[in-house]
Amino acid sequence: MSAPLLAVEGLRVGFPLSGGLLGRVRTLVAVDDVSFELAAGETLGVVGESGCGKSTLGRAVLRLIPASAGRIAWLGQDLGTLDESAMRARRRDMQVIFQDPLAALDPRMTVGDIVAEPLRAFQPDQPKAERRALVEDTLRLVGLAPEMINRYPHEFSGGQCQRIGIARAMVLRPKLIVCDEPVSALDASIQAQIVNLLRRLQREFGIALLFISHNLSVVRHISHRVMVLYLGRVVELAPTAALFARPRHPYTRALIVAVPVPDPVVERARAHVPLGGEVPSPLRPPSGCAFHTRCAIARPACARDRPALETDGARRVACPHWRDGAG
Amino acid sequence: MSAILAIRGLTTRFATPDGEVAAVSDVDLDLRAGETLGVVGESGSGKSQLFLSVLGLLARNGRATGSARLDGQELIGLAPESLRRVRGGRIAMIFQDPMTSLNPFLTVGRQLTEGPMLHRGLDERTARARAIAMLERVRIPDAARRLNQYPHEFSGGMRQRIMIAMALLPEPDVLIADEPTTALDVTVQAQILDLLRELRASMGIATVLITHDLGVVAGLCDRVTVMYAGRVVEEAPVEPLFGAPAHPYTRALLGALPRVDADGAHDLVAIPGQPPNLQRVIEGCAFAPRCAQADARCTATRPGLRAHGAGRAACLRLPS
Repeated sequence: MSAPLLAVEGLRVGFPLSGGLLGRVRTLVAVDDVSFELAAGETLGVVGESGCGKSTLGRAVLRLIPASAGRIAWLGQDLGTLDESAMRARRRDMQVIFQDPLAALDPRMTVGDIVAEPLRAFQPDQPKAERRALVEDTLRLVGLAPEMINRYPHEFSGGQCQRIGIARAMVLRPKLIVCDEPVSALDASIQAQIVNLLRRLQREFGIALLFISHNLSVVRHISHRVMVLYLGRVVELAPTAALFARPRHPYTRALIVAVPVPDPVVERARAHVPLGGEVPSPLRPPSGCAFHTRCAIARPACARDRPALETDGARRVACPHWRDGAG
Repeated sequence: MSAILAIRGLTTRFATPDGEVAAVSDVDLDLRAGETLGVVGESGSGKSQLFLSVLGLLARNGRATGSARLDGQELIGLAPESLRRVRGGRIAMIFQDPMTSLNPFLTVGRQLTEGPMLHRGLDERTARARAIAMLERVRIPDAARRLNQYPHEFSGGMRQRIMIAMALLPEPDVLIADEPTTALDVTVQAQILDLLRELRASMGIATVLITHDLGVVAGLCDRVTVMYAGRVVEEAPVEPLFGAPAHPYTRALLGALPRVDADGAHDLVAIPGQPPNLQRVIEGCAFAPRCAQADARCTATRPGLRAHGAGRAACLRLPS
């Protein structure tokens, strides 16, 4: 089998925090020993609550922030071995879109300049007419009229700004787009437009998406596989249908049942037994399994031993006791 | 059943440098005793401004006209001092961000006892005992000790519980909750929704739940009012609203939602376009430009709310 588009192995990202009476340096481990693969044309959803490290993971994969350990391979090639110019060349295949589209767009630049920016950076010698044609083409691709080229971001709604952000990411026809909460700031009617757009672009261009979101409904809809993070660690990774139909990790189960369903008949029929407590501070993660402080099936060993990620076919779960949980 | 809060012809306009914006237009709405009414809509639908108007909490450039009666007492145009008494007494509010209601420099205990001591003449001991009882009621563990802590010493979910306790202390007749769980993680949201469900059953306070999340509405509300571009487009009991939505906007909104209990085999049915600019006067139905069923009548004539099934809807295409 050929190498996957992206292979992440044992990735760890720590942020040093100064402080304390003696000026000791503490480390906040935001991403802790995360491994996954992403195939060309695939969408991997990354879900978890505040502090689970999902956004940090996305930035570390793009090497926008440094990893303190681990390996990121692109088509089998370790990105860590690339020098700056080789890494720069690689970047044109790896793009990103963010949650707040307006904040991500330079207010002083026209839409045309914003979308053309990656072209100017990576293809400085491209003839002007060709560049303009490609920008117009890309605007059409994301559902914007090419006439909008001379307007400014503030003239657009949130949904249109996200389309501009997607056009900028798409203009180089990348192989991977890291989507960091791309629809979280949008209203439901606009959210559906953007989700459909991303799915269409993926079908047409075979782009892989690393889709980071706290919204499990959107993640289920758009992802082929889903990775669940808790306090920086992978607790479960599985094909989407299997994960939602038969979640294994107690945390995945709790997350899924916590999502309200827009159907009063379903809502009324189900037992509401919310998971207790809140996510502990990543500065002081619990010992052993980080989830043991909130877990209904935890036993004494869970506070001591950090569970290994067990592989079973296409599924991975970091809980030796998942078979004992209901469900 | 009679309405405890009756809103009639409420219109709210904001003066802006670019002209006047009609945030809320001619809204009629009843909140009945003991019910939980969901008010849903997207950004700019007017759902929050409607109730800020009722409470006299509009930004300076806003002006509300029309009527909002709480048990017969007119609130629109009421003197600020009288409105303040209503807000701290018969009507209570909770917001998305608890820190807008909590003072970061005062202990939680002080904030929970000050009002009752000042307005009800309770002595400190009684006020503290009642505050502790209310914190226990919203399931804050170790309430007596935590009374001496400051808001920042509590997690987001716990702060939301404190805000709910603070809102319930004066034993209000009406609770207005504006996106109370939107800023919370999903497992914490489930806890707060569970608490609100329990309080609804035990206290029966008439509640308005303002939210963009139709899942939250489905799980918590008896009736639902759907707003679009400052107007009510549909209202109905919760089951027919979700089971057989009458207004094309309600239908479209439900079709646009991905669901955690359904696979993503098909594309979502997105609503094309975007909500209208409320600086412009809209002649016909505000949803017509985005509506798959709209015809020439819809852009020319504004539909009024008419009885439909168990509720009411504002759509010319509905059979009369």
